[in-house]
Parts: sequence; structure tokens; C-alpha cells
Amino acid sequence: MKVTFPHMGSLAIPMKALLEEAGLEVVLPPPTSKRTLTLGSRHAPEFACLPLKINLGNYLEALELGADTIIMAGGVGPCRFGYYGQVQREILRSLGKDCDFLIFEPPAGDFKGLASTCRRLFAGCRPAGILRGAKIAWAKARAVDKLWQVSLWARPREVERGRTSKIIRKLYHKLDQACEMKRIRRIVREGIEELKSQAKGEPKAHIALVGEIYVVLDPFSNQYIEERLGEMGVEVSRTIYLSQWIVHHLVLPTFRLHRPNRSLGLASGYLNYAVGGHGLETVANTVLAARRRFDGVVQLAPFTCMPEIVAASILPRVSKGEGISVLTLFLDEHTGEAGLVTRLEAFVDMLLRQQRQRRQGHGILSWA
Amino acid sequence: MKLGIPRALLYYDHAPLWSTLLEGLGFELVISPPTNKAILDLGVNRAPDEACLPVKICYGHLAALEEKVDALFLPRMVSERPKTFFCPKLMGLPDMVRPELAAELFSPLVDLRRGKRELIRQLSDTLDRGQRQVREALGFAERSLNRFLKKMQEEKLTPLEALAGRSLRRKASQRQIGLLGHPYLLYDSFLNMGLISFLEERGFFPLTAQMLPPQQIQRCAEKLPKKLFWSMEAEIMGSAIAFLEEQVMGIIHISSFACGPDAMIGELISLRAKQSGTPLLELNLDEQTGQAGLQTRLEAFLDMLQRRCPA
Ligand code: SF4
Ligand code: SF4
Repeated sequence: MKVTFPHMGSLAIPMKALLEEAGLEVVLPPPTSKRTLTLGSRHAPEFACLPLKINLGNYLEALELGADTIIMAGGVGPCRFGYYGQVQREILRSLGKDCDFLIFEPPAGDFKGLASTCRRLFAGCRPAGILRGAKIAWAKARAVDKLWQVSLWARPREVERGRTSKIIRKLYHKLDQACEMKRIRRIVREGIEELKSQAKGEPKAHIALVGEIYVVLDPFSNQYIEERLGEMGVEVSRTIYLSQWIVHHLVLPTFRLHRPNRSLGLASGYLNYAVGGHGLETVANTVLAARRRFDGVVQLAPFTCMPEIVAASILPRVSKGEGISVLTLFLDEHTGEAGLVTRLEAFVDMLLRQQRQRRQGHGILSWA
Repeated sequence: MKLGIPRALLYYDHAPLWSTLLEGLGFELVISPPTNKAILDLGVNRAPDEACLPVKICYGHLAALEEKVDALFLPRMVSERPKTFFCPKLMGLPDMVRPELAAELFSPLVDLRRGKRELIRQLSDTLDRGQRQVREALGFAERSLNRFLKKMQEEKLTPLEALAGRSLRRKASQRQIGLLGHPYLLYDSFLNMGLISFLEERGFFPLTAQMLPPQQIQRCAEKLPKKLFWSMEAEIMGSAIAFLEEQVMGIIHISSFACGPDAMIGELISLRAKQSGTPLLELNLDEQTGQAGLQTRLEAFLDMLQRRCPA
């Protein structure tokens, strides 16, 4: 059995650790590329969301490399993610791809389905290996997030353009190779040091990144927006992280727990219902960003994403009501790099202009 | 009090339910006219660009009503059955439209996963009527909804025909064409440019999910390895499989440009149609869809069906 799974940002680092520690052979899809996207879009429904298309491209490329078993998460709606696996499985079958497609459904009160999927995947694995794998995977997931967070802080302050991105790539590579808890901890400790030590300047502006989870977490799908903004001197705060996603989507539902919804309170008056995906969080985090005096918010959403369309149609009002500038970017396979960069630059210019005006405004006030 | 109901979205599914309920509670109802160019333009103007056509149309109907009524009625539709949902856009719609409106908006939460008690409480709160009174009116309303559904199914009528009290029973024929899509696209003859009468004029017999027994649709929908969690898509998918069972001549699937849920089942339907060798025409509607283009595609499709089985 050669197992593969779709990429989502750095998900491969913890996932591979889990599966390999458990004793499975893993075939990673090649890093997501233009080719992946082209392959996926060619065979996916035109109006499917971007993540579904990229997933499909990942599978096809992994199958080329000899993978024969795909694993994927399921879901209970209302957003499309919960049905991705079903559609992807049928598409692969119609393309004549012969493979096992295991979908891990969150057990809504019924553990049988999940248990049997687990048995199929881990048949022949030693429980101790699985446990160890889970522990290391969790540590790696947290490490990935921690380092990323520091890199977002460091990049707009870096002395040498591009240095932060180089360091983080190297650190992720090391993390990927590490297989002991002690080593993981050391990589994080030293990594933070290294990232921080090369950061001297001050960021020009502070932007919060909100939106649909996949395109927020996956730099390929968002055209490396965090790097681009960082290198324009903008500090980016991300509201969603992988380890948090694991807790919210895989761990809590398994035990039928729900995340406490702080967002409802924040978004209240603008959006009064959780509309699936991260729609409500997008609105809530935009409000929060305004209260925390960020300079602006960038909303990332796949084209045709229902929850984010709801959010996007409400954000202009949040922007006015809370006094914060918002840029919404809908992404799909036709999104061009040049157009995106132009829009980002224009947005950042506007934020800087607003900053100056605010400062001057204060100046005049204190003068009078 | 004058209450406006937009002739949009789930109107085509639930019209008698809400009108019976609201009239029973003493509201005077104003229903927006059938979609027309002015309503479309109003909607396109007000709605965000990314919204799908049916949502834009709903903005238009609300706008057409707002000056004529004291309040507008647009429930927050979340779920009509356990473990199912409506499209997330319908869940968020009241919040999307509210700030633009000149009239007050009543949008009770309809989430039947939480049971009917909760629905009654919601209705009673938003409409400012006693729970007893609401429960009673709701009972009547449900019965009238059921009569409406049964009439459509038994006499093979469209919702508008059933509402108008048409009693002409459509005769089943060999030349059946299965129509798939959300009722707000299938039955809004402005949006689909008179699809149903067009088919009938050419001597075809349109069959829709509303004309099939619900048990059959449900049984067919359960053939999927995983149940669909959108009730409307489950109905469309189930009727697609039923149409294939019934060996219709061909299937037409109308969806809105960039519709999220439809994109998922569209693929499953087209794979199944291909397997069974049933011709399938997929039509995507948006505000730019031109009558000429649509008709050409339809004509070509019907000609092809005609050639396959000249009857
Ligand atoms: S949140 Fe949006 S992009 Fe993600 S699965 Fe749902 S509809 Fe698709
Ligand atoms: S189901 Fe499709 S057409 Fe209906 S509101 Fe949702 S996206 Fe729009």
C-alpha cells in the first residue's frame, strides 16, 4: 500500500510523520505547481472551488508516482468540503484511475464508519507506532505553525530581502527530517532565534489575513501573499492555523464537541449566523482587526465559495462601520500573478496614505 | 399590517406554507410580481457582483416590494430536515439584504433540526404573535403545503399552475424530458426564458422533481455512497437518478452560473447520464444569458433527441 494525501500548506510535514511512524509507505504528491492546478482544473467541475481542483491535481500527480491509496477528510456540511472526497473519487474512477480512496468522515454519533476506515488504513500497523506517530505529528504541526507565525513577524523587519523566506524553508526541511521530540523542540527554539535575530526594522503597516481556510493556509493557492506583503514591509497576522484546524475539524467533531463561538458576538449586527466554512469568522476577525487598530484586512476566498461570498457582501459594511480598509481577493485557476500584485500594491499604498493622513490629522488637531 | 413576500428563491417550494401561515396570523400579504426586466436590473444593481443570479433576483424582488409594504418576510433558511442544510447563501441572506432595505425585515430562523417547537418560538418572536396562535396557524399552513405538493405530483403541475388552481392533468407521454435544477430556476419563466412552455410547444413532456413521488426521489438519492447534506441538491440528485430509471428521452440541467452546491452534483449527474447513454444538456444562467443563445442550444438539443427517437 502506497499512501498519499492532498497538500494544504505544510500539512505534509505532520501527516507524513504520522503515517510513516505508523509504518506505512507514503508517496507525497509533488509540491503543488501550475501543472497540478492545470491537471486538476481540467478534470474538475468548472464551478467547483479551487481547493477541490488543486486536491485533484495532487492526487493525479501522486498516482503518477505510484501511489495507490488516497486519504482525505470528509464532513457534514453545509459547506462543500464535506463532499469533496465523494466527487473526487468518482472523477478519478471515470478517468480509469484504479486506487483506494479512503474518506475519514467525522462520526456524527456513529464511530463505526470512522473505525472501519482507520482499520483499513492502519491494518497491520502496530498501535505503538500509530501513537508515536500521532504524538510526533502533533508536535510537528505545532512547530510548523509557531515558526510560521514568527516568520510573519520577522519578514517585514528583515534586513536582507528574502532572508526570512530562505530561513523558513530551511527550517521546514529540517522539521520534515526530524523524528524525535527533542530534535523538534530544538529546531523550533533555534529557528525562532534565527528568525528574530535578522529582523531589525519596523513594519510599515499591519494587515490581518482572513478568509477561507485552504487558501489562507496554502501559499501556492494564494500566490504567496504573505511573502509578498511581508516583503513590501507589511506585517501580516493570520487568523487561521493548521494545528487549530486539526483541533476544530478532526479532534473536536470526533468527540462531538463544538468550538465555542466567540465570533457570533463580534460579528453581531453584521452577520448573525454561522454560514459554514469560515464565513462568520471572516466577518468577526475583520471586526476584531479594526478594534485592534490594524491598518487593513485582506480577505482570501476561492471563486464560488459560498460562505465567503456571504462574508464578502457584508464586509463593505463592516469596513464602513468599524473604519477599516478591506481588500477581497477571489482566487481561481485564472487568477494572474501580475493582476494580484498590482491590486496588493495599490491596497498597501492606500493604507500608507491613510496612515499619513491620520498622522497629519492628529498634527493639526494638536496644533489647534 | 402589510407584509411583502418576494417571489424568489424558496417561494416556489414553500409559497402556500408562508401565505397560509401569515394570513392566518392576520397579515395582509403583498407578493412581488413575476420576475421582469426591472426586477432583474434592481437586483443586479443592489446585490454584490459575486452573488449568483437567484440571489440577485431576490434582492430585486425585495426592492420592488419595499415601498409598498410595512415589512418584508424572508426567513433565514438553514435546514428543513435532520442532517441537511440549505445553501450557505440562504443562511446568510437576511444579513446580506437587510441594511439595503427601506422596510423592516422579518427573518425567523427556520432550522428544523431543532424541532418544530423552536420554529414556533422563532415565528412567534419575529412576527409578534402568541405561540398558541402560531402553532394553530402553522398546522393549517402545513396542510396546505402538503396539498400543494400532492397536487403538483399527482397532476404533474408546476408550482405556479398548482397555485393558480390549474386542474388540467398532464398526460404522460413517451416524449418525456427530465428537468433538473432548483425550483427558482426551473419555474421562473423570465429567467429560463419560458423553458417549460417552449418544450411543450415542441411536443415534449417536461418532468420535474416536483412531479415525482417523494419516496422515489429519496430512494434514488440514497443510492449515493454518501448522503448529500443539502436537501435541495439531494432532491435534484435523486430526481436525476429517477429520470434515468424512468428512461426519459433526455435531461436538461439548469443551474446558476457559479452555483456552489450544483457544481458538486453536476459532475455526479453527468457521469451517470453518460453511463446510461442519456443525452444531457447543461445550461448555466446568469444576468448576461441571452435569449438567442439559450434557444439555439435548446433547439439543437431537441433536434438531436428527435433524431435519436423519431416518434
Ligand atoms: S469554504 Fe468555500 S472553498 Fe472551502 S469548501 Fe466551502 S465552499 Fe469550498
Ligand atoms: S444553491 Fe446555488 S443558486 Fe442557490 S443560492 Fe446557493 S449558490 Fe445560489
